[in-house]
Amino acid sequence: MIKDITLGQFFPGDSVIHKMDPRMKIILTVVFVAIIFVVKNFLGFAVAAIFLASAVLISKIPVRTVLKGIKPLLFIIIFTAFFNVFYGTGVKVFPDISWLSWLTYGGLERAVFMVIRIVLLIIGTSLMTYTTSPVMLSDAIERLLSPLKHLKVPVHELSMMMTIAMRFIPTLIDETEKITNAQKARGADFETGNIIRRAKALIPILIPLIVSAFRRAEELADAMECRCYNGGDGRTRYKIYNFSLRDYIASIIMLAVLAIVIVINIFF
Amino acid sequence: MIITTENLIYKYGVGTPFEKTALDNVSVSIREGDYVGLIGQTGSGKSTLISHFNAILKPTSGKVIVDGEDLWQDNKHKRIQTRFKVGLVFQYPEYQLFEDTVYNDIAFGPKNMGLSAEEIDSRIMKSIEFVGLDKKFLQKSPFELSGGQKRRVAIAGVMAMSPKVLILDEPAAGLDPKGRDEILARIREYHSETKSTVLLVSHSMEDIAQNAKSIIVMNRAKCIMHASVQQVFENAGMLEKIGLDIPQITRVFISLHNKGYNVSSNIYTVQDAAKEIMRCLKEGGLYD
Amino acid sequence: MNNIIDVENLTFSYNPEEHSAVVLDGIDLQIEKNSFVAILGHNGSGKSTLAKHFNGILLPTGGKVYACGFDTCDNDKLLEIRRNMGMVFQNPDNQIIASVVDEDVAFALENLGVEHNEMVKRVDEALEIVGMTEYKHHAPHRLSGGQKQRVAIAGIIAMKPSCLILDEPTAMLDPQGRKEIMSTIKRLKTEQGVTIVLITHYMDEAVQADRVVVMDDGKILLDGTPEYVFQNVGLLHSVALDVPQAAELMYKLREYDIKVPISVLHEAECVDVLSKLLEGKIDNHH
Repeated sequence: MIKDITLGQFFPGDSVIHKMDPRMKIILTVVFVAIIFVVKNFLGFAVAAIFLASAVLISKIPVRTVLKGIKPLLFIIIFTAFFNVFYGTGVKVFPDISWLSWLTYGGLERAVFMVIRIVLLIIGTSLMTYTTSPVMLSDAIERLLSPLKHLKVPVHELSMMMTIAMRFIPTLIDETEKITNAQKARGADFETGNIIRRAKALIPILIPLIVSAFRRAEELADAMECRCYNGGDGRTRYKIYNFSLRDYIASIIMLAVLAIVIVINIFF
Repeated sequence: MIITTENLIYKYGVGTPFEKTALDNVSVSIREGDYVGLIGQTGSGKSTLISHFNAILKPTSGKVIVDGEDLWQDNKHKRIQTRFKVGLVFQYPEYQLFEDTVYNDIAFGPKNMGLSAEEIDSRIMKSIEFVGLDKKFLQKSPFELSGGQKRRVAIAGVMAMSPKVLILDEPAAGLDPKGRDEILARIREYHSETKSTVLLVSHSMEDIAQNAKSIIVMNRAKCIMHASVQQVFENAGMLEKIGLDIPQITRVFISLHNKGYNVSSNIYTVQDAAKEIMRCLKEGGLYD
Repeated sequence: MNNIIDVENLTFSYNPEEHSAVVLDGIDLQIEKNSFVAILGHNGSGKSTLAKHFNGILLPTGGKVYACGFDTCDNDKLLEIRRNMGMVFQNPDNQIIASVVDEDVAFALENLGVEHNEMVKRVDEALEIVGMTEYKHHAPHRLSGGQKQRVAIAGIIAMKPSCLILDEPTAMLDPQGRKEIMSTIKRLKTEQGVTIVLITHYMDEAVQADRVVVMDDGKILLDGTPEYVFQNVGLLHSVALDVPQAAELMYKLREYDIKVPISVLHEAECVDVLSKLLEGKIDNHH
């Protein structure tokens, strides 16, 4: 059911990784992504993979859930693998079979390399969203971007928009379900017919949904004014983030992984 | 029987940590032509139950039989037909309006039924009259109307399908006393004129007392009672215990009754209360 | 200065050129500090429009509105007025801004620039007052209607307003939720000394106030104690309002020339009066 989809797929928990400062998690995720792109050989991937596997174990997110995250992107993975195999060069795997002549050891190696890279990327970034609530994520992004305020980037407005969007997504999902049921009760059929027919069938859902979103926005604006909202100037924050020991340790480990990968790149 | 459920069970989120039984072995039968009140606290399963009557929700187990047909026995076509037989007006139905004119919005249901243009037209005229709106509204945009008027348009949109059963989930929610009385009076009129079955879901025992002939009481996913208004309200204490509000006047008469005065404890409306007091005064020779 | 709200000859129209668009028509109203006033009227009587003038969400077309002594037209005082005149709306879903209860309660405090330690303290206090402490870290959309509305109230009282204006706060709630809200606001009045202005069309809520103001067609129709206001059964019916069943019964009995008192609102009183009547202790004409 539509309700089962949770944005960002956050899994509440109390592991060390859950408790880390969300800003640090974002920074370290970016570093991890950089490492994945720096890696030049399988040994480097092995180091990154061991690091990531330990992180997953520490987070206590079920391994099955983590692997499930790859599923929606399976198509892209297969697609990438296929192209890398196809454009590979080097020794042919089956030199005697003409219609398999395109299959080379070099191509296979490249394909496996790319697949590992994508899989590590997906798992690495989803570990962040699995262990950080959307609210904390948007909060952390705002704080990390706040230096951009000096460049006249409306950081506060953007983050307020994100906060409100996240607050209203579940409400609007509920509402969509209600309106859909109401139109079904009037005999609307969303399940048969060609694409155009089906798209047309959505109008009775979309219009009420948009009308209601505007009504909500208007009421919300009044409510925010009543609570003295006046833009970002002079605001204080309820949530305060402080880097703690675990954040420093995590960043040291991450730097060590980076160093090892670089060393491997140079010497192997 | 127009609607029957047999051992109906419905569970949300089966297999997840949020699994919850919303309907627990509910077997009810609704007589054709009855005006049924459905009461129960929020979360007691009322809305889940009525969503089964027109195949919006599929039972986890058990049967729903509408007009002699088992809804989930075979094809989908039958279930769509069921939606025309059992008209369901959800809470705050005004939020489902979407067409450019009131006329077209009311026509949505009848059009989905595949009726002819003339038939649709005559049904729109009839239903707009049932809900007591002037015909001049037909060419207006539904979004220009007041809240109460919008609600009537939405109800007319379901009435226009001429369902055998009309189900209304809190049709008066959020309306002021006048709006509430008018809507309920219109529904009463529709019931007596079309002889169709009506099921009214409400928190207000007063509204139920003034309108329904029989009552279904839901509590914690179970149907704990289905009987005449009289029989159900005789259990005022039980109703209060399961979190329902009984009318002030009923509480007054229960107190009087318990104090030993010769008055009935089944009084739900002020009108009945005045009559009862006058009866007692006359019998006691205090008024002639 | 004893009046927290002072409305002088207020008129309001969304479109001043057209006379038919007049929503408020010459309102004079004073609301005393630490009172509990219910403003009763049917939909479209102008009661919500009036309420929105109390904290400067709407500004008068004619006349003056003073809130806490400040003219609501005075832009420099607007923030001060909003902080003092907290306002809660009908739909709890559309006034909760954050995805976690305590962060939402903190929203106004963040806007006011309250210092962090003080903010944490006030959030906890506000949640305590509305009895939602155990839901501090919950997501608002999973709460019941009554609970959401209590969170909305907490978000306002965290500002420590001197007055709380509630615009049909129970219209979308079930009986359970309505009870929760009524007991919360009564507690706010007695324990925190907050002035309460409750806009409603439920007479059973209005009965609980110290004073009831009945509005119709942009004007004040009746103003007084609940006992006084609900004597006017016929007049209230004529403007599409209910009266408590007890008052209505007394009205009906008086039509039979039975001399029951006119101002009976509550269950216990009603039982008392009827007992006496049935024992022949109340005079009747016949």
